[in-house]
Amino acid sequence: MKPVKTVVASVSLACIVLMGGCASTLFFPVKPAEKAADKVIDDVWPDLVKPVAAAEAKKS
Amino acid sequence: MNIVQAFFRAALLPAMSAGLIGMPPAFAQTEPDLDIDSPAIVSLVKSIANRFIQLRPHLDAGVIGLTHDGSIALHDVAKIDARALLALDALILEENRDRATLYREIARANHRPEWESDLRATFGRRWISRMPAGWFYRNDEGKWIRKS
Repeated sequence: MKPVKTVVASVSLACIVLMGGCASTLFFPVKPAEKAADKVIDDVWPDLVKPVAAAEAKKS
Repeated sequence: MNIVQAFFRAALLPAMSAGLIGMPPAFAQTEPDLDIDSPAIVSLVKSIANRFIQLRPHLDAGVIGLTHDGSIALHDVAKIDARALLALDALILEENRDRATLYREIARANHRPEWESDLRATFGRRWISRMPAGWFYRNDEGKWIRKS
């Protein structure tokens, strides 16, 4: 019985680690990342673009 | 002990306590803003902003363009002489080094180093989406396109 438990535990742990890796990509926070990018772009191209980040912050 | 209990005790609990798994951000109530205020990030953004003054004429002229992966690259070298090209090459190198460090630093500041490539792709999309018409960008198929 003990070897079976060990195998089940090892396989389960491997699956969880794998799922964790996939989840971090799957659950990448797209909106906050876009907001961060817009803030950076507002700072780098101040005379070129309408500041999106500031406008959205005002709205919310 | 049934198999579910065995799974929970042997695998799930140790993995959770070791921080291997956690609540995915998408399941959280709201997605918090990313931290982009670390001194390293602020300094990189300042450096990129300062360099933009030198890069802008080349972007306007189509000598260089943006790439889908958040970098910049030479587009049309026929428009400048060899000496200017040498200086521009150095600028491009510095710019891409800063940008790569920026994406890595944002991932690191948010304790998710594995996000670096997703951040790079997201920034790439936003740079291109917000750049003015007339500039060039290279898409993920390697094709240069003039933004209209």
